[in-house]
Amino acid sequence: MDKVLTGESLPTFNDLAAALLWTAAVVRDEHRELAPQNDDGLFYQTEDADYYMLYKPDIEWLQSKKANLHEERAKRIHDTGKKAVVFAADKYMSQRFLTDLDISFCQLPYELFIKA
Amino acid sequence: MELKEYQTRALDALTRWREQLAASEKRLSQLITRSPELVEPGDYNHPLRAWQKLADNGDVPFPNRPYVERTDAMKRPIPHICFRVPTGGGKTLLATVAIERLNISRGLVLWMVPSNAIFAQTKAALKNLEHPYRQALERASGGNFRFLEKNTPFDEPMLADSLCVMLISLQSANRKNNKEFLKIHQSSGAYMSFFPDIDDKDGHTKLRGENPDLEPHGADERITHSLHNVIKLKRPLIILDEAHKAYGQQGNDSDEYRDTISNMNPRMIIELSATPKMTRSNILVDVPGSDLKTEEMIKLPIEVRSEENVDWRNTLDKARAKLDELHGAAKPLDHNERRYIRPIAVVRVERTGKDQQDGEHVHAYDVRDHLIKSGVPECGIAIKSAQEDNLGQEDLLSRNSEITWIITKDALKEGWDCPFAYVLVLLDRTTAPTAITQMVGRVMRQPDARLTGQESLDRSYVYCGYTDVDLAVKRVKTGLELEGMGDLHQNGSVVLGSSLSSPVKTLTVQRRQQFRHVEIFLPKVRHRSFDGGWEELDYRRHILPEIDLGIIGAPEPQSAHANQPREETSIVDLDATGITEKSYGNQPLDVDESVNIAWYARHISDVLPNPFQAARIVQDTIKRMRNAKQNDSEIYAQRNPLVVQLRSHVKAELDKQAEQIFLKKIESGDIQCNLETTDHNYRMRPSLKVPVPEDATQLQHHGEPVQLPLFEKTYAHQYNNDERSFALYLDQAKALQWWHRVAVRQDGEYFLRGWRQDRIWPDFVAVMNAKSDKPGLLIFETKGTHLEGHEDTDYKKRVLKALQDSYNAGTMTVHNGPAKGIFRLVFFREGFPDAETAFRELQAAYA
Repeated sequence: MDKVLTGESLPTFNDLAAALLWTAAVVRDEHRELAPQNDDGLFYQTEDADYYMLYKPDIEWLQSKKANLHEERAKRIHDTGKKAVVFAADKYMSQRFLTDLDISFCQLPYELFIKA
Repeated sequence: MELKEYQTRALDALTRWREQLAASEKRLSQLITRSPELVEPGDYNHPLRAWQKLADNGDVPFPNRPYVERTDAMKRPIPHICFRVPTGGGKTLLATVAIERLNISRGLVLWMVPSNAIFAQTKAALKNLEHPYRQALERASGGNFRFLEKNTPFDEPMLADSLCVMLISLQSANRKNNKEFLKIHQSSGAYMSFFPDIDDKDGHTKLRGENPDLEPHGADERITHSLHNVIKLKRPLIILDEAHKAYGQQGNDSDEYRDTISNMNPRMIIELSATPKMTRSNILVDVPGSDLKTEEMIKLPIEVRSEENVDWRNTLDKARAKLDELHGAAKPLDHNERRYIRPIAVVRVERTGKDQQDGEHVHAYDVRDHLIKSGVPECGIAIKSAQEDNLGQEDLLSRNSEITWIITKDALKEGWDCPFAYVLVLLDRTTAPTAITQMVGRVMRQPDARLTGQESLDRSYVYCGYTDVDLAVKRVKTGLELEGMGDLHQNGSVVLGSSLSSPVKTLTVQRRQQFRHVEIFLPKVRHRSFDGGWEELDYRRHILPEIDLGIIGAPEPQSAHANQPREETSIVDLDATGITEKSYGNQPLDVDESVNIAWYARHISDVLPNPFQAARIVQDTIKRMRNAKQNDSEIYAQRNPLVVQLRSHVKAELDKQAEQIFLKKIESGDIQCNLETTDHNYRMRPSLKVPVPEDATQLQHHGEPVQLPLFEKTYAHQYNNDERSFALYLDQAKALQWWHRVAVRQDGEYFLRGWRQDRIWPDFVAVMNAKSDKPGLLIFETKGTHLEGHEDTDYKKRVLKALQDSYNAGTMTVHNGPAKGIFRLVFFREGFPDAETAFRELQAAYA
């Protein structure tokens, strides 16, 4: 965990997304490369929900505001009309605000750590 | 799970207590070292000293109540406090986060619960990796959490390396229940690591010399290797759930529980209770029911419909009609907002036994049959009794569940409070009034802790067939008191009683005649939204994104008080910031003392949520310490003071930036506190619903009701002495049109916002006569003089000043041009000089 938090050893987008997808949705798709499909970090879709992750294996990026879920992005995700799960380092709104937008927020990297 | 505002306030109070306790112990320790001849017997009672300091600062809810002292088996004072939190207020979550806030990351915590039902619920939550309670403990321990029961083997190294929470029932600890009690006193090989070897006579003699209260093994010199002795040696933090059940009642039994707990030598006790007894508990935090209402956690008001001597079928039909109505209201919510609520009715009957259907008593089967005849599908009805359990493990919140009716006598477990339960139906003739009191809490929890915006789905309902409506209402109120929400029926119209056959009026207070037909607006603190409109200021969305975390560096080095793992001292149990660890065993501890960045980052996550930024600051801090030639072991020894220092440093830095951002946005016009011509103002309600006790009197001055309140009646019981003085002072201010006392945290009441997350509820609002058509506004926050210089007082003072400066600064307003306003913090001083100044300033502004 320390190595992730300090940037000493950061997993690739694919590895992290795969691990989170397994814990969050019990979905394992080893043959599929998980990569962001748009600027909002959409990386997987099921019938029920879309999965987003704001992540780059770059510690400076993770420490920056770009790594956080902000309102404009949250509203854009909401506008897709589907339930969403967003993995990110932090968020600039309350969970209640997100609940109203049908978004569940999961914090990186703790989400991985707690459910490991 | 995000903490509610009142939970954050509660934890801040805990932090203040911990700091006072540590300071008090430190003073004592220094006194003993430097001038032992000056130590007086009272000095040893550091918890009392700490409490007195808090009371002097106004940091406890009942500062005039005497501190309740307790000592352990070694006659050491036990620091003990109580969180008074209403049922459903998240007290268990509060306790888990309190462990984190006390910086307890290793060692033993004893979590005591009063019943098997609560034991099972707590166990399930603590064992569930995804549950918020468990996650809080994972954070506290940096991922080294262990769940223990009294039969779980554990040893010294495990306590040294992990946060071990042992869940135990009160029965296990009390001598009356011999079987369970004896288990924790039995000698067991499982606890060898805590004691000297069996043949180490000197070791046992030494241990007994140091701890004469330990239970001996028969007549010989050895100490019993029992769990009870381990607990006594490890001196755990004790979390006492439902403390009033342990020793809230008077009498010998409860004394025995209290003494049993004290004799476990806890280093500290945190009690949780909705209804603690002042004579037994030191209430550090008093969360009123209104806080739960503000946070939308409870369904209010409660509509009570009752009538004597009505056939139970009639009552059931009325309840069914209500439930149908609620289902009708829930459907569009699901359709439009995808928010699923399936309202459920809970019916209490007189008989449930399979052979007890006698035609005289209301039986579960009678009710079921009647419901089926009325068109309720059989699969929607569940009987819950000792013999028959149709509920089983049914997830009532799931869309897959079809249950809308639950019929029971008294088999619903303690603590059962499904948010979908809306309607309580009492059909038992003899015990209905008592049952109302006991069961009303079961239907009060708001789904998702979020109002639906549909009035009918934001209320709860009680139907009672054999009780006079006044008695039923009275019983509901008693029920609220038992759930720790007695304030609700004092301060608002939360219990609406009506007969089953004819509705009865509720007391409504109108505005005074001259203000009855005019719109009255007050300014809201608003922020420009990113689509160009305006919305209420939200710290997380409008302030936090502007804060530059990157410029927050490591705190200045300080000489943190070292906290050695093998440290032993007879008095100081709590260092400046956390709880020391002790070991009485003969095994050297194998503690991993390497620096764990994640552990620190998690411990400051409540103030700095971005874990990568938190890690950066921690890393910088550790680097600085290493540059100062401190090794891992020394850093480890200072970890608790370091966390406190990091947290207060980051908090102060964030606050500094937040204030600047707030002020800058006011200057740029992105934050405004104006009366706008648009519909963004706070609109004063035309009437208030006020519950008034029979013996209540109106607030009077020289025998006459006060003249200038906005609403035509205001009652004396709604004010404390200071507030009453200030209200009377305002009432004599001839320049005023009206004044209004803001009922704190009532639904729909007026509040302001500053640069922190919490709302600010001013105490009084008043409007001054003006020569023009632009009346002057006065907003007063009142404080006792003892709170002068207090951090929170200073914050509010600065916010009020900033808002006053920005109020109607050159914009078009509802008054066709800028009106003036004074936002002022007023201390309760003779003649209220702060308010006098405010009046003069406002008059001068219009001169």
